[in-house]
Amino acid sequence: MDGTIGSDPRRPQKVKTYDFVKDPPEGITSNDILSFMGLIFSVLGLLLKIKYICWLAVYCVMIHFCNSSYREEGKQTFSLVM
Amino acid sequence: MHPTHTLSSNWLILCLCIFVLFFQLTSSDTGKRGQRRVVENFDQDDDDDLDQYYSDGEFDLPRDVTDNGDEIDADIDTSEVAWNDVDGEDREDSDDEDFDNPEYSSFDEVDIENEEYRSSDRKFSPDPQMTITESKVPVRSTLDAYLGEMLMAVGICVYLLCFLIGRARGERMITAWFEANSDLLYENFSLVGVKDNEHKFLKEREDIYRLWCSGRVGCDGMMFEINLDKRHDLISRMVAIIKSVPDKITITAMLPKEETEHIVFALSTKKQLSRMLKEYEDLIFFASTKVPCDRFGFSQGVLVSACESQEAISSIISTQIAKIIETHFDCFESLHISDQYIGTKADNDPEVVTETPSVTCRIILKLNVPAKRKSIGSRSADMAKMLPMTHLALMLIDRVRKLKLSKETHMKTQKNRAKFQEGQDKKKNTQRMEAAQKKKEEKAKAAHDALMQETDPNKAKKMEEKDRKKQMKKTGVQAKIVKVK
Repeated sequence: MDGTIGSDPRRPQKVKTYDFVKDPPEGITSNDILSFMGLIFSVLGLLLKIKYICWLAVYCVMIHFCNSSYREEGKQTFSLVM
Repeated sequence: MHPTHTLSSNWLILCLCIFVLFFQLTSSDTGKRGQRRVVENFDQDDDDDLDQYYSDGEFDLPRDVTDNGDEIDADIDTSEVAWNDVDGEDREDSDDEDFDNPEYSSFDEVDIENEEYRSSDRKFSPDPQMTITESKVPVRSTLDAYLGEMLMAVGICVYLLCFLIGRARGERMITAWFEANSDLLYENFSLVGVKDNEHKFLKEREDIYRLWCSGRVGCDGMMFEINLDKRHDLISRMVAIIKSVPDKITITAMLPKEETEHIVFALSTKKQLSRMLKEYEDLIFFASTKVPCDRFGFSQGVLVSACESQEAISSIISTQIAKIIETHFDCFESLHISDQYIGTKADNDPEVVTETPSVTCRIILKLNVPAKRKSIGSRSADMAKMLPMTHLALMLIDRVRKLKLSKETHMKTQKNRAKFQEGQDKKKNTQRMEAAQKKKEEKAKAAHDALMQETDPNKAKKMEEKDRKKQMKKTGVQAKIVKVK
C-alpha cells in the first residue's frame, strides 16, 4: 500500500506554514468556569474567613492550571493563583 | 508561532504559590491557637510570678499602697472607709438619684448582713484549707489540629501524581504514533512538524497535540490533530470509569482551490451523518440527500453518504479505499470532502465572529483510536496501528486531485456554487447593514444623552443647532429642489 504513485510527491517550493493564531475561538470552556469558581471561592474564603473554601479555591486553580492551554499567557495564570 | 513559556517556570510558580497559600492558611487560624497558647503557658509551670505570694499555706496578695507610698494595713477596719464613686465624689454627699433607687438600696443591706463581707472580720489571707492543685488541662496533639490541612495536601499530591503519570502516558502514545507514521510522512512531505523544534508536535494542551505537514503535490498542507483522553486530569479519570471517551485523530488536508474539482461529499454512519448535515453549512446547501453505500462494498446499511453528484462518489470511493475503510471500520468515524468548506454553524455565529468565513477546499477524516485493552503498552500499540488511515488520507488527496467531472455535472455544480455565493453575499450585506444601523443608533443615543446631561443652556442650544443643521443637510437638498420648482 502506498499513497504515492510513481515519482516523489514532495514539493519543497510548495511548503506553507500554518497560522495557528487564526484558529476559531472556542468560547467558554470548563476551564474558564473553573478559573471563575476559583476566583469566587478565594474571595468568599477571605471575606468569610473559612479556610476550607480557600482550599477549594486552591483546588480549582490547580485543576485550571493543569488543564490550561499553552496559548494562555503565564501572567494570567499567575495572577489567578495569587 | 505560539508564544512560549517554559513548563518548568510554570511549575515553579505553582509550587511557590501553593507553598505560600498553605503557609498563610495554616497560620491564619488564630482562634484555636489563642486557646492553645493559654493552655501551653498554663502547662509550662511557669508560676514564678505566683510563688512570691504563696508561702506557709497562706496566700498573701500584694498590699495596696496609698498615694503617700504607705502600705495599707490589711487588718484595718475598713468599714469606716468611705466608699467613693469612680469620679472621687463622696457617695454619702451625692445627690444622685440612683443612690435612693430601691434596686441599689438592698446591696448595702446584704453587705452588712453577710458576715463574709463584714469589714471588721476582713483579712487578706484566704481560708487556710483552700489549696491550689495542679490540674492537667487536656491539650490536643499537634498532628490532630492539622488533620484537615494534611488531608487537603494529600489530595493535592494525589492530583499532581495523577497529572504527571497521565502526561507521561500521553507523550508515550504520541511518540508511538509518530514513530509508526514518520517514514510515510517524510516520504510524502517536505516539511514535517514545526521547524527548529525537537518535538515535532505542537502541544496545545496536555491532551491535544498537532502536527503540520506541508510541501506535497495536490495538497497545501495536512494537519494531524490528536485529541487524547484526559489522562492527566484526576476528575476526568473518575468520569471515564462511568463513560469512557476514546482517543481521536482528525486528519485535515488543505487542497489548492484552483486544482480542485467541484465536490461536496460526506461519508459516515446514519446517526453521525444526520448530525453533520445539521452542523456543516456546505453540506446543508449542497449535499442534503442521503445515499446508501452498499454498492461500494460496505456492509448493508452501515455507511451512508451525502453528496452533490453521484459521479463524484464513484470516482472518489474506489475499491481499494472501500476495502481500507471496511477493514478498519472500528477506527473510522466520518469522511468529509468539500471545495466549499466554510465551517460549522457555531463557527460562523455572527454574534461571536465578526469576519465573514472564507471558503476553502478540505478533506476531513475523523478517526477513533480503538480501545480494546486498557494497558498503556497496548494503547501505544493501538496508536501505531493507525498507519493505514494515514495511507487512506494520502490516497484520498490523490483521487481528489485526479477527479474530472463531465461537462453537464460541472455546469450543474457551477450553478449551485453561484447560488451559494449569492446567499453568502446577501448574508454578508445584511450583517453589514445591521452593524451600521446599530452604530447609528448608538451614536444618536450618545448625542441625546450628552444633550440631556448638558447643564449650560448656551452649549445645549449650540448642540441642538448642530443636530438641526445635520438633519437639514440630509433632507435640505430635496427641499431646495422643491423650492426651485
